[in-house]
Amino acid sequence: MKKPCLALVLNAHLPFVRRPEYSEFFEERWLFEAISETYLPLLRLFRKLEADSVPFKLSLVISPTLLAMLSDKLLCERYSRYLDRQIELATKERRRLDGDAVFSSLPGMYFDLYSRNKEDFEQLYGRNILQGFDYYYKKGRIEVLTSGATHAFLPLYQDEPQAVLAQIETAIVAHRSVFGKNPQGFWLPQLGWYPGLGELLEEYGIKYTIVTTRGALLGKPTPLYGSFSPVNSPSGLAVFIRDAGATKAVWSETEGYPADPVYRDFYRDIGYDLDPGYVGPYLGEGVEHSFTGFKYWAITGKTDQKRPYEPMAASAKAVEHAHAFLAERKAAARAASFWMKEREPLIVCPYDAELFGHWWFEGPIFLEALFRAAARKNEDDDMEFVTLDEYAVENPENPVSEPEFSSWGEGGYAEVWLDGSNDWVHRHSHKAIERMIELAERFPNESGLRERILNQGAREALLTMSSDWPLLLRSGQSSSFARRQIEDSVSNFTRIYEMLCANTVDTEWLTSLEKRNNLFPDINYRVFARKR
Amino acid sequence: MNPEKLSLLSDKELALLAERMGIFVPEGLDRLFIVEEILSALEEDDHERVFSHDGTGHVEEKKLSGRGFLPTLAPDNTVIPSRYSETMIRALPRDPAWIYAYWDIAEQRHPPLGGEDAEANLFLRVVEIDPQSSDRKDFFDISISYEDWKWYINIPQPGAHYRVDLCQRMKAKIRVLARSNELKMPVYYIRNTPRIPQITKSLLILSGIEGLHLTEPRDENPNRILMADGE
Repeated sequence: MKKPCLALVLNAHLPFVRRPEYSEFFEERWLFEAISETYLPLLRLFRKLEADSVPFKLSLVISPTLLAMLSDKLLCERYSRYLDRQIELATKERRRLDGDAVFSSLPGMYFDLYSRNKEDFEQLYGRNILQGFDYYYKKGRIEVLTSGATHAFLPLYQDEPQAVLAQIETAIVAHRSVFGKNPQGFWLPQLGWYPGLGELLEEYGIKYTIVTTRGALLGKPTPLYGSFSPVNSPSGLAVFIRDAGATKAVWSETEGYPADPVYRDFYRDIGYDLDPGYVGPYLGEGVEHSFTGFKYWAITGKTDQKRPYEPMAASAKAVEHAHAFLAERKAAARAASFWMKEREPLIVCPYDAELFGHWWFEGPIFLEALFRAAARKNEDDDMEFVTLDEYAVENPENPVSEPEFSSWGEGGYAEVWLDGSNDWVHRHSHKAIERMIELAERFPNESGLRERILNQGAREALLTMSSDWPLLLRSGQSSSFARRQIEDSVSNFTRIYEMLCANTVDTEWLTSLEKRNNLFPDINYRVFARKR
Repeated sequence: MNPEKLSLLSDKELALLAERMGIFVPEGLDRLFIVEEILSALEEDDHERVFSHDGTGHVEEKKLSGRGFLPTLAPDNTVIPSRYSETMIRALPRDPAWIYAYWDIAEQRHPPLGGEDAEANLFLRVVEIDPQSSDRKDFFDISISYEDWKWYINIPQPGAHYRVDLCQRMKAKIRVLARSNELKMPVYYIRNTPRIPQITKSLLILSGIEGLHLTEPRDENPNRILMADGE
């Protein structure tokens, strides 16, 4: 690399929610909203940049649970129905606001969004948007990383390395089954790292990962180039380091770009403002108020008196913010270059993908402006966008350092996943793991029905490890649903364990569970067998 | 840390926590006021953290937004065991200052009412281990009851290795019922700052080390080792 580099990394992840036993299920909308506001707009952005010959490079994480849901026929069928209803609501909204001096144009924006989504989803991708990402993956425009199978917060399982290996191996198998090749990079769920993890990742051919600035700077020894170069862990794994400045610029809820008053307000939604009789049919049976996705107000400030949303002004602001972001990263790189004589600085900017579009509605415009601005070459200070893979291949030699236990959660360690609201989960999750390891060792060579039940046991054990549910328990958001998800997985696993101990199988129950929790079709329960 | 967890701490532990957080506690101050002071300091810390941009929860919470519970979801018949009736203890590292330990004691090991063991006291022995030799370097005890099943343990030495033993004392005899996994605690700050080359020092500043507060070693006060019943 002959210039300073910037690696943009987007982590696309959602926990596994699939309830075929209901005709519709509210929490499945998390997926539908993310497809509508982030994943399809991202693909449209890629197409647009490609059509305009704008070079772009992006590292994209698609978590294994998200892969499973995006590949699932039932959820895709339900997403298609969701789009129909969103288009219907947009049509009704157009009628309702027809002639309104301020808001009449906004329903049209949503009508266009959902109509384009419908067309792309059905016509362009044949209900399989993963093939869209695969196209750019194969072209080298993006690289796709994997992550923990069920997004387990790995530092809390460091005393059960077999569970960590099961998370890694299952993820790699899921990635390979969709993209036809092994991932080179592994996104640590919640950026949760602990010393020694590199060795486990390397066992599966993983070449690199990313840690927080805190984790890296607390590493031993202190990284020679701070966060401006990856380090190699003692086992040889390349560990990229999140840039604190880039994090601050975008991540902060109070100071970051997405908090600008002109952007669309996330919370103010017609699902709360209008009569339940009107919006209810678009929210699902029994739901009176919730987010519909139709939002007409700007953030404005800490006030209830919101200003109407103005899409043009918001788009202009997103472009301005992209330019400012790039200028700040270039300035940081110039400052770092002064001290780095032997190599060019690298700035790694990892974010949740759903930030762009779902929460920060104008996020995709920001990304587009960022790539376009970077493409306009300036010999004095230009900066090259790279994927992590490209950088790792060209720079195999890095200073050696073992990062410290860390995460990107509040506080920087494990307190988000380990406090009074969610600590009870770990007793059950660790017990399920312990028992699954026992089963894998007791039944090493099973086939037929027993293999099926063991595989389902492995799925349920992995599901108990999800870091999403403890996070929701702590935040109080959707906490009863989160509790139910954990209890279901623990209960399913316990039943499987007891059936195997009693040498009986309730095949009807097993079949219905396999149909419901159908993620990781290629799972091999032996991932839980001790290898060391 | 929340009021529930603070209420689990003894007066002595509360005072030590306050001391660690730099809160001045006049002698004889009611524990309710100490809790209030600690919570208020933590709130300030949280506020600072928002501005240190190390958090991510807000994004994940938003992408998983919604009403939270579906009334049409079938009644919850799921029953999960509260415990597994085994004698065990596990320790998980939470942050540089706290270990979360949970344990269980098999029914048959509970002392029978009025029996010879009825006087048995339970306690956790938090053992600092030498990572090279695995020898015990230091320890402190925390009294617990048979109704307890978890504890957040404030440890004196970030970066050290620990183990937690679940112990039972009967008269003068101590029996270890279960021994936890060993864990290495993380650290808060960068050690040996003077030895770091100038290039690195400059790049650490550009990397945001000050905003992350990684250069402020907190005093390690050996008096913070708590002895429930000095042995």
